[in-house]
Formats: sequence, C-alpha cells, structure tokens
Amino acid sequence: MNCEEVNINMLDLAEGSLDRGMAYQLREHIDNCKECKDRYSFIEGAIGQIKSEREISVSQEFGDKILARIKISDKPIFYNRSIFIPLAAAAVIVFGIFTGIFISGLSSGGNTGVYADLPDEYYYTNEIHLETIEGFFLTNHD
Amino acid sequence: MIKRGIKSEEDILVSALRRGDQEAFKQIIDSYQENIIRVCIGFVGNREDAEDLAQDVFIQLFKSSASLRGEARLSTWLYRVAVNKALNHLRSLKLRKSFDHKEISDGVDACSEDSTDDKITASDHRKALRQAINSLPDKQRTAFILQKYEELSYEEISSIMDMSLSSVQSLIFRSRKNLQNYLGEYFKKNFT
Repeated sequence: MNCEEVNINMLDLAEGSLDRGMAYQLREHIDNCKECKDRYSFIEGAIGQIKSEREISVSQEFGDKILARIKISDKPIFYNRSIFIPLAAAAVIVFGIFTGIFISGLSSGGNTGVYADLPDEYYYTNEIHLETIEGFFLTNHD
Repeated sequence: MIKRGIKSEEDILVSALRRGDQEAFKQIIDSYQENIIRVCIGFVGNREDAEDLAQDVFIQLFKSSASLRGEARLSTWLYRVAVNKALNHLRSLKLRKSFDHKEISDGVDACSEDSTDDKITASDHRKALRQAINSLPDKQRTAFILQKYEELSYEEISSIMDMSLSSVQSLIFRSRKNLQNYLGEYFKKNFT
C-alpha cells in the first residue's frame, strides 16, 4: 500500500468505518511512514473534535429565554388563536356593516356635512333660472 | 426525541400547540433543544451563536404553529428551519466581513500564529475542522452536518433536504472526500 492509497482512506480509518483487513494494512503503512503518520494524526484529531462538539447539555434557561422572547411568560394562558382569528374577522365584518349603515343614513337623511347648503328639493334650471329645462323647451319662444 | 406512533405523542403535542397550549410548546422545546443546538453548532462552530439560532427556530415554530399541517414530522420541520437559519447567518456573517475588509474565516491562512510543528493543539484541530466544514458547498455541508453531528440516517437527511436518497449519498461521499483533502492540505500548509 502506498501513501496515496493511505491518504484517500484516512477519514474512514479515523472514523473506524473500514473493515479490519483494510484498517490493518493502513495502520501498518502509517506506523512506518512519518509523513502519513503525522497527516493521519492531524486528520484524526480534527475529526475527533466533532465528538466533543456533539456533547452538549442544555440548561433550563434555554427554554425560559425563548418564552421570554415571545413574551408569553407573563400571560396567564395562551390566547386560543384558532378561535381568536375567526372572532376578530367577524368583529371587523360587523363593524363594516354598521359603519355602512351609518354612512348611508347620513347621506340620504339629514342635511349635515358637505350637503348642508343644498335645499331639500333641488331642480335643474335653464340659464334664465326661472323654468325647469323641460319647461323651457316646451314653451313657444316665438 | 419524540417517538412516532399511530397517533404519536408528536401529533398530540402539535395539535395542542396549534390550540395555543403553552405546556405543549415547552415540552417540544425540551424534546428537541439538544438536537437543534447541535445542528447549529455544526454550522457555526460556537455554542453562543448556536443557541441564539436555536431560539429563533423555536420562536418560528411558535409563530407558525397555527399553519403546521402535519405533512412532515415535526423534527424534519425543525431541522429544515435550523439549517436555513444557520446558512443565512453564515451568509450574513460573510457579507459583513467582506464589507469590513476582513479575512474570511474559512481561509486556510487564518491558522493560529502560535502553532508549532511539534505541538498541534486541540484548538488547531478545532480551527482546521471549522474551516474545512465552511469550505464545503452548502448542500454538502448540510448533509455532512446532519450525518455527523446528528447521526441521522440517509432517509431522514433526504426528507429534511427534500432530495432523493442517491443524491444524499452522493453529497455525503463528496463532502467526506473534500473534507479529507482540505484537512490534508491544511496540515501540509501549516504544520510541515
């Protein structure tokens, strides 16, 4: 086995995923080749860091921080969103209907706002401002 | 990790979460916090940033809980969000560094100055590993981290990455080759 063959299998050897025969041949070469030995030792050490990075323990504070960030810890219970959203939508629709009724009542009923200056009954008149337009055309002006 | 049965504990917890059950949310955090933090460590390499990202993942779960449809396992959903958040974090970090005209952390030249040929420390190993992982393309990196840090099966990884099983196998094979080459070159450049 030469250095190149050893190099392409170093990661597998470091992880112990090679069969025993192959691993034995690689180790035999590594033990007798300083360059491969140093290189293998470095790769083994670097890959070994994954194992130490994997070992974690999480404190209770982690969950508490999440709850604090979404500001739910000070609420006695979660508001029930599955009910809250339809209720909110219904409230908006009802509000819209009543607002519409109110506005239409204003425009057709009392004289307030922009319509305040208009008379209750309004006729279009001709330029003489005496007769209705229809009356003007029906009258013989000769 | 929560086990999955016919009407699994996971399904029950997700249903409860959708109804806004705080206890269910806490239980989900307890069940998955280690997994999600570990995946984030795989990407960012430090505990502090990993915990911040993991918190963001759970907050997103809370915000999206009403729209969870149960098409995928909860763990798959959480891993996906964690991967996306971690990759976005690294991209923004890289962008910020390029604006600051600083050296990108995955460059080989960033080896510690106190390293000597005859004494390679755990810190050197850690730095080399981090740079090697960061040198991988996003998909290879994701597949590698899910396999090595979480020890997930190819099936689980393919489900998280939404890729075929053979594509995942190919990604992991290439990631291992690239990682091995990078570490070999790193050693040659810095310690020989």
